[in-house]
Amino acid sequence: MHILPRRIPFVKGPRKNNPGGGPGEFTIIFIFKRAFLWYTAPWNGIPFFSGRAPDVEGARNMQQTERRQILPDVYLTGVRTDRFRTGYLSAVLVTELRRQEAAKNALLFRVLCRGTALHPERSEIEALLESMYGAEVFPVVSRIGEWQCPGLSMRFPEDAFVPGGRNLERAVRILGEMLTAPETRGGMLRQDEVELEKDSLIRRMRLAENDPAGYALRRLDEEMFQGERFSIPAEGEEKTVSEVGYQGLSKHFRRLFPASRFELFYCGSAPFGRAAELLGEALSDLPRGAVAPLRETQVLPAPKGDLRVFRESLGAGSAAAAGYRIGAAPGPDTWPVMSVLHEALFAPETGEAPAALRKLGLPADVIGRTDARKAVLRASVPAVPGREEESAAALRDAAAGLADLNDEAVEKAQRSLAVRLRRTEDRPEKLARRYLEFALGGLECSVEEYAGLCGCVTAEEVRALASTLGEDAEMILAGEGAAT
Amino acid sequence: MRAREYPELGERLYRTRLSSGLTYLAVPKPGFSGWTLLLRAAFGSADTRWRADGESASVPAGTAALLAEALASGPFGDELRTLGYRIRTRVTCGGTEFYVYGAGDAAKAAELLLRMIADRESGSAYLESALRAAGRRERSRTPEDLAADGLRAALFAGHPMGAPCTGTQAEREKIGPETLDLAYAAWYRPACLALAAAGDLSPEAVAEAAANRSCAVFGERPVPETPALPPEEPEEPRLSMDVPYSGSFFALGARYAAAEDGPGMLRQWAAASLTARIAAGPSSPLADGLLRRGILTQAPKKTVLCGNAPMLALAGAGRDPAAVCAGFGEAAADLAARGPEPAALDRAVRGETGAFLGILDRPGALCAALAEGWQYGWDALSAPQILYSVTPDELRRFAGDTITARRLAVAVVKHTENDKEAGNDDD
Repeated sequence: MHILPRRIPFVKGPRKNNPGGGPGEFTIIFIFKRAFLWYTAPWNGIPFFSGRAPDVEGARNMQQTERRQILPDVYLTGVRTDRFRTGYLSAVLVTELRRQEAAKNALLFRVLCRGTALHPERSEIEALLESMYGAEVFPVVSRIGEWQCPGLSMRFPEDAFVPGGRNLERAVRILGEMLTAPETRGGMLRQDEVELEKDSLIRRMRLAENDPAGYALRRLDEEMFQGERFSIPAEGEEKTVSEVGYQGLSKHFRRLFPASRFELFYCGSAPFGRAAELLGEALSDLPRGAVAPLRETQVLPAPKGDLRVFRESLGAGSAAAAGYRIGAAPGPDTWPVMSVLHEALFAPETGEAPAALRKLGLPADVIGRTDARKAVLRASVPAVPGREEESAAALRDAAAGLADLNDEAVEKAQRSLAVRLRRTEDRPEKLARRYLEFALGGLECSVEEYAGLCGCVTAEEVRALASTLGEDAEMILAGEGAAT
Repeated sequence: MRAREYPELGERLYRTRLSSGLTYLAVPKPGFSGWTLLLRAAFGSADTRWRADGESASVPAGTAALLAEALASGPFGDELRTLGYRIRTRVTCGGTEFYVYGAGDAAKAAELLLRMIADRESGSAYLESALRAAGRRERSRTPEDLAADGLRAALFAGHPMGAPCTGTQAEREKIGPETLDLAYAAWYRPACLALAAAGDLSPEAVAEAAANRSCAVFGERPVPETPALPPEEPEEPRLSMDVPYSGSFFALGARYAAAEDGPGMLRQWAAASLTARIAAGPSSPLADGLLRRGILTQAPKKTVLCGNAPMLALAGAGRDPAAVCAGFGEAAADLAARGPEPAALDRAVRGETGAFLGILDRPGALCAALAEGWQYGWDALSAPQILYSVTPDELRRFAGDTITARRLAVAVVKHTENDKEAGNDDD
């Protein structure tokens, strides 16, 4: 039996901004393996898709998802919903992961949100955000395949809940200022801010060691993917941060922005058109140039030889991590199978890996990471000092058993995944990440529709994918244990 | 079931006492895809001595946490997990919380959650499993957790509120199955429990499912026999722990005089939150100075606790906790002497209101606020009104009464070797 989400996504919801459609509208049916997704696109070719069927409360709680190019190589994905009291906005650029540039990119956005030509001091920015009823701006950076996506995100109370409204307008304006008119001295980014943010980023990187499982995952990536761009952490490396100077960063900023594609995301109650118009205006000075296509993520075959085991020591605690390759780059139509496989292995409550660890009385808070573009899965777990090898063995056994996964376990994974994906819809920052992955992978569907696709995956497909899984490397971090 | 509208927040709160005696609170969130259920027991880590049904009882520290782990590891907890729902337990000084996060049939989950509590299995097997879980939880504590524990230990030295919520290994070893039975019989009765629900759910359906289940023991809430609080000036104001972590972490703060249960407590929370934001919030001169000097990498994180452990705390990672502590003391003294600048107060009220709106978007946080409000007799959804009603005079008094240099405590968690390598001078 397949598990489908309660709201089956095959229903086309009414369009709020164009009720009943209109002349010139046509309908496309995208056919995946088993699911039919209904898309409607206005005549001008701008894609549009509606995510949710009408709620019992009527159109008030409708969620609509749209995507549009608003400037050359600048795309906006919008989720219109009035269920949140706070709106969310993000702007990330998409670039290749390069060892010498990853840290610069991460650092750049940390500097950009510290001051603008109109509000040069960080205290002015903070006061402005506080006066917008506790709005927040923060740098974000993620790694999707071998691409890096650094940028800025904002959270701000919705207009309907603050006196005077206009919070969206103000938020967009600030974001626009940060990206197009940063505070400079003699045409260069401020040296003092660059140095402060360098220091802050380096300290942040060092603090990562305090989380043994997270650190083990990072070290596993560095060792397992040596020679591949995937070995570079999303925020770059400490040694490259320390080499960055304010002049170099300023030059990098001027070179990077015109040559990069930007992905914007808005989740809130304003009509998509309104958000697009405001963002288009605020970013009209964003330097635009020729954007070269990015190199595709390199996918290596599943290993045939011996398992590579790396052992290190860490003061803050013990952990074990393992990495697996699938060996062939799955296209977007295989992503749902990979998602189910991920859930079957890593789901905290029902996954095979946590279950295997719990059975042995070992810590079972597994961090599971799957990168569909790179076709890899990795797991990391805190370990009891002296029993790290046992944790690694439990992870290994759980993965090895996946090819014989029974139907019930697959159903359990699908149930758990359905819950997780539906809860994603309640977290704008997670929605932003999902839609970014979808956009970069060319997958045009809403999260709810994706949940529907995952519900249609068969146990045979999961087992078939699992049989291609090969464990490549393990990282054992032996620690003295956290202080108690 | 009574429903109260909060038009300015766009929320509707359902509240009722079910036939079983259990208090039920629900905020449906139309449009949300998931929900959170939270069962709160008024049994916190500080409740180590109490009087119930004419009998006095005492248990080792950490009993509340161990009992919570034992309850969550029972068969109904497993059934919830099998359905794809996530369960989390959290024990504070004042209460025990059981969270269930999910999507879909909230009524079924509510029934299972209450069965998890009501149809409890006891015995040494569950104690063993709970002890293992408590051990794992203790090992996974972060430096921030350790700093927070250190601060509470300094502010409430020698009092159950100052002890770690999970108890120490030595304390936990004293706990036997009969200890858990004793605590369960006293505290897991309808008078001590509230179920809060928020998200994509029908309040009526969840109430109906919850009404069918209750705990076997009825009666009034036990009366905790907690020792008198230690003097407000901490005896050991500076506490430092050397641990194998990278970097330095601090938590600093002060206690404030506890108000009686009820709206007064929420008012104190508002005053404490505004004081901390004005003195050390992101737009304060103190935070700006500390960031500029590279002492902090971000403004300190504020925590304001009310209930039976009233304290405000600022925490973060930084090089010179003493400078942060001194700066905060000075800023508060300035606030006490001159009162808040009108613009700063306005910004702080706006900032705190925005933070509260953020809570409404997170069903888990909303449930926690509702359930805590139930326990202490205040209405969490009235927080914005209270924030707006705090007067400058009130803040001046609060800052003057609460945050004096003598009353501030700071806990530092650092790794000496790392600091030497980095050339930092913490003390």
